Amino acid sequence: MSVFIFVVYLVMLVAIGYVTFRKTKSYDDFTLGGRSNNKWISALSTESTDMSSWLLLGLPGMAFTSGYGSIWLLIGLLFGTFFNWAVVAGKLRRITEYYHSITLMEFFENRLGDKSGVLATIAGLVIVVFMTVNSSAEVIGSGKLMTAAFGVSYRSGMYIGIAIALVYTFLGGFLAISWSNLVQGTLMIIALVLVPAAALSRVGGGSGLATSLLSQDKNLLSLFSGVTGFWPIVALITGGLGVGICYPGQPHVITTYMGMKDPKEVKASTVIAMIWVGVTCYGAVIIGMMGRSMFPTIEDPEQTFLLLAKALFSVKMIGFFAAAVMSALLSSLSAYLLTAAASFASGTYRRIAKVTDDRKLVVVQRVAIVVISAIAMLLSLQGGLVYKVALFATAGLGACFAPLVLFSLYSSRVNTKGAIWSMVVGMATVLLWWNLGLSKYVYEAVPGLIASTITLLVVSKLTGGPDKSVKETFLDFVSKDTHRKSLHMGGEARVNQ
Amino acid sequence: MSIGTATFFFFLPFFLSLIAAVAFFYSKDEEGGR
Repeated sequence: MSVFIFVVYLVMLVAIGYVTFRKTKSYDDFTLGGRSNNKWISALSTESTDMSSWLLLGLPGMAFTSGYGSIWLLIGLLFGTFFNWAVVAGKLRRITEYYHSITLMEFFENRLGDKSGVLATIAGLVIVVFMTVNSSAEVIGSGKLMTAAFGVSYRSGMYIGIAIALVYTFLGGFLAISWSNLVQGTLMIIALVLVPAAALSRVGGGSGLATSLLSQDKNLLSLFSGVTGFWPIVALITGGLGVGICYPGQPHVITTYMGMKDPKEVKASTVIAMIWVGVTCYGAVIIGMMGRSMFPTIEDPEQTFLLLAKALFSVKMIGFFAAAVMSALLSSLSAYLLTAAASFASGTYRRIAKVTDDRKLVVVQRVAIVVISAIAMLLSLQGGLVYKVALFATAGLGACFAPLVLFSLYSSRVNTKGAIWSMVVGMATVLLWWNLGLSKYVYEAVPGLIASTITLLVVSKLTGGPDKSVKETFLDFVSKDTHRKSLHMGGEARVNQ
Repeated sequence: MSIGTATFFFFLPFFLSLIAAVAFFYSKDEEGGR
C-alpha cells in the first residue's frame, strides 16, 4: 500500500509531463509556459521551487540542533520571500513582457543593450554551474530518501529521482514544472501540518514540548541558541537574515514570476505564498524540535521528519510522507534543470551558433536537459564536493544576480560593463570569503552583495553609464508602467533582435 | 528572557509576515491608472 501511493504519485508526474507536452508548441510555451500561470499555480510553483528537499530534511535538522535559534533563518526566509514578491515579482513580470524577454538572459541583454553576448555568456555559465550542482545535491537526496523510506539501494534511489524529473521536464518544460509544483506544493504543506500536529498531541502540546526540551538543554529555548560573544551572534544573525537578501538573485525562483498570466494577480499570489512559506517553514522547525524531544539521540538529525512520520502514523502512510519529501526535491530539481537549459540555450548557445529560429532553441533546451541531468547524476556519485559547492550556491547566486536584477528593474544608471564586473566581483568575494573561513564571523552573502552592488554602480558610472537609446527605452517602460494605460505594452524594445 | 517571551518572539515573524502580505494585498498602487 505504502509503495503503491508513492508509485501513483510518480505516475501522476509523468502524466502531467505528457499532458503539458501536448500543450507545449513553441519556444515561449516550453520556456515560460506561454505566461499562463494563475495566482495559485504561480504562488505554489514559486515557493515549492524555492524550497528544495532542504525544507523537509535540512531545516528540521537545523531546528533539532538549534531550537528557537532558528528564528533568524525563519525571518530571513519569510521576509526574503515577501520582499521578492512585493518588489521583484510584478515588476519583473511586466518588464520582461515589455522587453519581449522569455528568459533572464534575454532580459539582461535586452534591458542593458548588450550586443557583444559577453553578459549573457557569463551569466549563463554561472547559472548552469550552480544549477547543475544544486541538481546533483537533490539527486543525492533522492538516493537517501528512497533508502530510508523503502529500503531501495542508494544508487537506484538516485536514478529514480533524476529519471522522473528528467522525463516530465523534458516533455512539458515550464508548464510541466508549474502544474506538478501545484500538486507537489500541496503535498508538502499537508505533510508539514500533519506531522507536527500529530507530534504535538503526542508530547502534550506546547508546554509538554517546552518541558521536554528544557530538560535536555535550556539553550534550545533561547533565541540565540545560547551563543555568546559578538562575532558568533553576528554570524548567527547574518547567516539567517542573509539568506533573505539573496532572494532576488535566485534565477530558478524569479523565473516563475515571469510565467504569471496576469501581473495584477501578484498581490493575491503574495498572500498565498506567504501562508504557504510560513506554515511549511514553521512546520519544519517544529518537527525538528519535536524530534529532539522524542528522539534526542538520533544519529542524523536530517532524518527527523521521516522518523517522526514513521513513529506517529501507520506504515501505510509512509508512501505519502516519502512522496512529500520527493515533492520538495523534484519541484526544485526540475526547475534547476530547466533554468540551466534555458540559460544555456538563450544565453550561450544562441550567441555561439547565431540561432535566429526560436524553435531550434526548444530542441537545444531538451538536449541540454538530458546532458545536464547526466552530468548531475555523475557529479552526485562524487558526493562531498557537490555538497560543498551547493552550500554557497544561494550566496553565490545572490551576490551575482540580486543587485543586477534589482537595478535593472528600478534604475536607469546601470550598463553592461557594470553588470559583468558586478557578477565577477560578487562571485569572487563570496568564494574568497568562504575559502578564507571568514563565514564564521559574517555570512559570505553579505560582503558578496555589498561588493557586487558597489561594483555595479561604480563601473557603470566610470564607463559612462548606459547608452542613450538604452536609457530612453527603459524610461519609456517606466512611463508606460507608471500609467499602465494598456495591458500590452512594448513593441520597439527588442534592442538586440 | 522567560520561555513565554521567547516563544512570543519566536512566532512573531510568522504573524508579521502574514500581516505584511495582507497589507500589500490591500495597498493601493501608487502609480494609479487602474
